[in-house]
Amino acid sequence: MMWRSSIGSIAVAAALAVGDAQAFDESKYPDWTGQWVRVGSGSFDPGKPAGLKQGAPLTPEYQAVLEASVADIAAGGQGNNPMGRCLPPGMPRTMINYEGMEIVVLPNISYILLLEPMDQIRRVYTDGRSWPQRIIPSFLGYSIGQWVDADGDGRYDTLEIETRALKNPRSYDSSGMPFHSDGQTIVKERIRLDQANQNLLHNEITVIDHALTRPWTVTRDYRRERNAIWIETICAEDNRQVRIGKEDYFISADDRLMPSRKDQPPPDLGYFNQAQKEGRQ
Amino acid sequence: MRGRLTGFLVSAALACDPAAAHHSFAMFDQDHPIEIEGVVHEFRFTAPHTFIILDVSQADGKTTAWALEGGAPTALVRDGWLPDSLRPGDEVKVRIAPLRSGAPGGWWTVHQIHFRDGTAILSRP
Repeated sequence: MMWRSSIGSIAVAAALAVGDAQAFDESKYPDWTGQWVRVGSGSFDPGKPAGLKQGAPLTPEYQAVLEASVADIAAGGQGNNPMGRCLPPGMPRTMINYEGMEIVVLPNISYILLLEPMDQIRRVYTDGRSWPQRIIPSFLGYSIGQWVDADGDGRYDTLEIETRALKNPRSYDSSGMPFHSDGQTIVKERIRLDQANQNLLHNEITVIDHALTRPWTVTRDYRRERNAIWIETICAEDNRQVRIGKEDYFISADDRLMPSRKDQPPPDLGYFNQAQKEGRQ
Repeated sequence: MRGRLTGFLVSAALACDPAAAHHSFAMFDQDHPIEIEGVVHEFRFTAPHTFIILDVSQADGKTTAWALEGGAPTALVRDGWLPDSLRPGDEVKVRIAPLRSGAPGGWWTVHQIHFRDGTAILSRP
């Protein structure tokens, strides 16, 4: 075996086509095969309650954005939550890992295959490359990793990743905790198996962002499911929560817009022929 | 057979982790759940979340189709559900968090839905 993935047949074929892949000594790498399922809440910091109680160290300007988002959600809206309309969660929110992920370890690259919300793939380059001169921003960003033998036993046990070139809009979770609009977020991760439980994966995530007063570190855990069932997840398939302008609506059983909160105004239909709608033409 | 809207309030809130989803569930009134009965028109085993389209009879004899949002297919599969766990014509009773607007929509969980006669959904062979 040259790889560590249960879906590795295609991946290994690609790897074999790249000369030095045949030198891959899998005994040096940890066994991260299987499906990894989220442990804990869907808030960015799973150890704290949602929203304002997350204690995000936001600057006053961005704390106000969060407070407005929380207020809108309390009224029935989606607040500052781009993922609510099926945009990708982006980094680091995607590592909340809503619906399961798989990690494919290869010598020069690792793939993190994420189900939610649209079967995205993170590519973590571990070939020793430097940061490119120019990177086109993306929701998942550009990730460079480094394997570390933290316990000194001669085998790699920790994957350290730095991710840059992130694209907005993003939020930390569905409460709408914001990132700075400058898109300069840097995310650092340390992923390793629990020393006592080989079916538990830890990810220490540190966010550096100009909307924060200091770096913010949280730890997320993932549980290994060896008998995984993989379900295709394409968010746009049937997302019935839609935003028009600044209002969030719900699509009814008969595919019409419904209000999501009391006394909600309808969308602006100014571009439609209202007379035609009312049967006068 | 048509369903009927029982419409009584129940005291317990729906067990949930609203922050766990890709969107907020704040549009659903989790503090005032209701129980409804009806006939499954369609079970949509779709991303990002499943939906039951449930035909519910009103007091005036008319039928209204409710759009009931459930968990993601991946989550339901872990609970043993499949795309045909509910079929058109099934008569079910389900506790939902209704839309705050009063429109015919709501949110359900696998732990709070049964066939109308009280049997578990997954008990069907």
